[in-house]
Amino acid sequence: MKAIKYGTAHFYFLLFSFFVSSFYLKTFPQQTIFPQPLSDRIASYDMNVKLDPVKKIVSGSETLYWKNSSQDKISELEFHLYMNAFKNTNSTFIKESGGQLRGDKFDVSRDINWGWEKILSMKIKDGEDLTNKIKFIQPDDNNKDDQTVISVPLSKPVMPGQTITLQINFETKLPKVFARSGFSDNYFLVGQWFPKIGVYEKAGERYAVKGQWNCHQYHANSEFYADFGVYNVHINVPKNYVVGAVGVLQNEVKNNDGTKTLFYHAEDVIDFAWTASPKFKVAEAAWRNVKIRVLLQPEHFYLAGRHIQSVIYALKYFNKYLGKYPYPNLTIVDPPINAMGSGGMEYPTFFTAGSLWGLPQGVRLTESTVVHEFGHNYFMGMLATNEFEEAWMDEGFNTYYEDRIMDNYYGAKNSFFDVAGFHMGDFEMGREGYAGMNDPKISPDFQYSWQYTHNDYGSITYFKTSTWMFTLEGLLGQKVMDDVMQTYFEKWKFKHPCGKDFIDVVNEVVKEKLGNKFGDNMDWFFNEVLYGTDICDYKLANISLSKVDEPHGIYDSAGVNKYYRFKKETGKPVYESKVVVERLGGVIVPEEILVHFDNGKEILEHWDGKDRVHDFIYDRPEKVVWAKVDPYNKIPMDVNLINNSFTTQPQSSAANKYFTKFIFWVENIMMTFGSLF
Amino acid sequence: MKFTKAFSAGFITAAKSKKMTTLIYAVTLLFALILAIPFHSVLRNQIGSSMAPELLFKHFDYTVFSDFMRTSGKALNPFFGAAVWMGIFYLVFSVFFAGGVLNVISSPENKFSVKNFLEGCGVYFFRFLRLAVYMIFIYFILTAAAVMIISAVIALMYESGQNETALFYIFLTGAIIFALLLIVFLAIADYAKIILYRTESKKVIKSIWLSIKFVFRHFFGAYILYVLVLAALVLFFFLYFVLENSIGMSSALTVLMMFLVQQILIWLRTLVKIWFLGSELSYYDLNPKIIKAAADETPAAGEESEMPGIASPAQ
Repeated sequence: MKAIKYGTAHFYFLLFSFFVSSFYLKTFPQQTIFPQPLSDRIASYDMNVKLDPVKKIVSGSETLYWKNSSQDKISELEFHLYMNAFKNTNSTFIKESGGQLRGDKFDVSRDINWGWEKILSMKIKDGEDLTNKIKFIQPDDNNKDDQTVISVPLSKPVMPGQTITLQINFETKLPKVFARSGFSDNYFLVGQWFPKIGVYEKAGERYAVKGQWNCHQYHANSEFYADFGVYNVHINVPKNYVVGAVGVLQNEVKNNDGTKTLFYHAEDVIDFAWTASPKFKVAEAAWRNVKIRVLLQPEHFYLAGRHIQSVIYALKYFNKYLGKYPYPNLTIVDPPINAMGSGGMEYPTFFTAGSLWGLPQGVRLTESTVVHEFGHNYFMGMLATNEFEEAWMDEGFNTYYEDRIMDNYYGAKNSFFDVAGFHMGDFEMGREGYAGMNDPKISPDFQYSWQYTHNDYGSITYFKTSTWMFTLEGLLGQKVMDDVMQTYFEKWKFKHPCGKDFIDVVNEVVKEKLGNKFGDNMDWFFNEVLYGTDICDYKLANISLSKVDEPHGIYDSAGVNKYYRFKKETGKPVYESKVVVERLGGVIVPEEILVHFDNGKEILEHWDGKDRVHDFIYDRPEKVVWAKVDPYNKIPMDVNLINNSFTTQPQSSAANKYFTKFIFWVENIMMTFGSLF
Repeated sequence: MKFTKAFSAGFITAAKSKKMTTLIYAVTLLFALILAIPFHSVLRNQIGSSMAPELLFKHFDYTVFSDFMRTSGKALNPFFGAAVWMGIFYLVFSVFFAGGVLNVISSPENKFSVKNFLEGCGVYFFRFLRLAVYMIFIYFILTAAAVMIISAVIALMYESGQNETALFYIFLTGAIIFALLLIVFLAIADYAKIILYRTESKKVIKSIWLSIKFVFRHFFGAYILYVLVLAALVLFFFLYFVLENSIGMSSALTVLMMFLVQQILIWLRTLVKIWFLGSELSYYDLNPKIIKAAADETPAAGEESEMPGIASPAQ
């Protein structure tokens, strides 16, 4: 345990903070957003903080109201101090990430680039001073150098139903941005920045068999998990700064010292983050009752329309196909190019996107990021799954909706990229993210985030999940799939569902809508795609044709030998066409096979997909010309679509086209080299 | 102006060199086919009886393309690597052809004969090869310096929080300066070839030095001349893209049409190469002072010329 120093200066600071806190709270009572709480509001915070833009420090006070919603007497509290992940090279985050995340590298060459979080004091309101009882714990990996989780023992337990009020003073030094939060020059993205209580999972909640803290360390491959609450946050910044934050701005006061104080209020959210920069230019719009505010880099201001249009698409689609977005506003932050590590990150009602000056219209990086990050309001924000342990429930489900939205509004074959005849849909790109892995069997979807140690976190949690979600949609049909997702959302919003809860909803809705079409339940599907690692690969292996001879030879009938000889053919010959389908992967899904005959007739076969090899035999005057497994692309998790079809009349048009192109490419390569002399 | 005269003279020379152009084009096509024929065979073999790749005939389809490359990439990727090696190999052939081209375009009426062409190829090959090695080394240094300088400036500005517009314009300025400098060095390489040819000297480094002097003494003319011929090449590419856009490659007929268009473009690229040399040779000959300076480097009296029958301008 490391003792927290607490000096005289801190005492005056504490006094000042309480004064400021009580002043603002009294002066600016917040407007209620939801007359009826949407969640159980377990962890609520009142905060007064000040940004020092030179030292890159956010300091202030926090009053935490934490309710014990379990039946347990709780005598220990656990908190996240996320910013300590950037304190030294031995933190779990830095060790796991190697100081790099999503292409950005942690620059440790300057002292000011490190980040840390200090609790200056912690006490129970009108009660015990807990400051000296704080100890760092490492529940995930026993890395003693990791200080991202603290344990605070209480002398007097928090009783069931009781709310404890803690007064905490803290200082957070923001790191140079490379992963989500921090500063870059005078841009600040302040996320995961305050001492934040963990989630106490009561018996029966998610997988807990008894009440326990769920408070993981900050890992490279992990986002977060928190309880719902109400936030009242006063933010003091230099007065030329433009600020955006989670929640609704209640008031803004200019101070005499060249600063201003903004008061934000948020209800039924799981986190609070904010941004500040003097460079932001603001664009505003609205969709129905939702106010949209975009904070853009000046050179990106002309891209405001692309941000706004895409978020409106997302709002429309989510409201229609999943559930209502209940909050009155949302804020989109566009980070500068040298702080792209903070881009593409989500917080309730507030998220960061990413754009580049001169980004062609056909490169929809900004749009897909906006749609994706907005979608987190549903899966991370309202469904509040545990991203440490089940990242697929947030990232995967959200990627599935991102793909649906992008492909719906921008075109299935060109929603992500459409430049100079080369185009790619959002879902196509995601599927390739999974199917194109060196080893798609490397990890299951169902494992803790930090257990993905082979650069497979994104491919599995985002792309494998979205691919099997599309496969599930292909099996159930979009209508039933939408029923599943709407039921899941309505049942679990503002709670903490786990994977099992989702599967239960799938089983319930499928049973109700489709009966036993897929068996007693859909557990078989999840055993394969969620808990298993095997791949799906069906192959149309062969089509063989042979003329059916009329019977000849000796046949016994009632003791009399009858001889059959060839007769001269009088009618049309009959052919036996054998269509051979193989299952190459371990994943079993029901398949459709479309068989096409030379007279234009087609037969759609249904196969349970279980056998390793299955033959479809036809004795007809018509010959089979071609056949396709999964002709309507319902099973996109089949990792090889090239072997899904077979024709007895191979065409060479594509080969000839690329032959001529290849000649031209080689000639041009040669002539380009030749032009050097 | 001399450079306009040289430009026209170069064009006339190139126009008269259709046989030579066709010969060089045919060799280029032959080299390409050495790779393309097995590529076609492997491609057909990889497609086999699958119907999916046929979807790529009419339109590009990312899913089909990525799945196909994933399953057949191992078989096809070596061809793409080999294409680069073929390019390097072709560079040596370009060096070989250069002497032949100069021999033909210097002859009266630019009359082409295989004998004359090959004679020029053989006589100048090794000195041109040395020249190519030196010039490629210079291009490499120039490119490395440009990349390092541009990257360093951009990194510095990036760290200091400059916006992307500034970063883009810095990059663009750097790239334009690099391209302009590259043109200077490409022109120097061409005039060094001409000097080696005209003077029948074997002193390659000296020829580079003389060429530098020539280019910088006649910077405007030499530079504009190079840019003008280059513009013709850009125009041909532009026309190609217009045709590609309007014809497409979505039926057997349009594939055949585009194949012809592509081969015409390659033929024109070959012609432009001759146009470059023809214009520069003419420009060189139109500047007697430099010819005189270069003539000083010709073999001393009594030394045997390497090219009997080809008179040096000083004689």
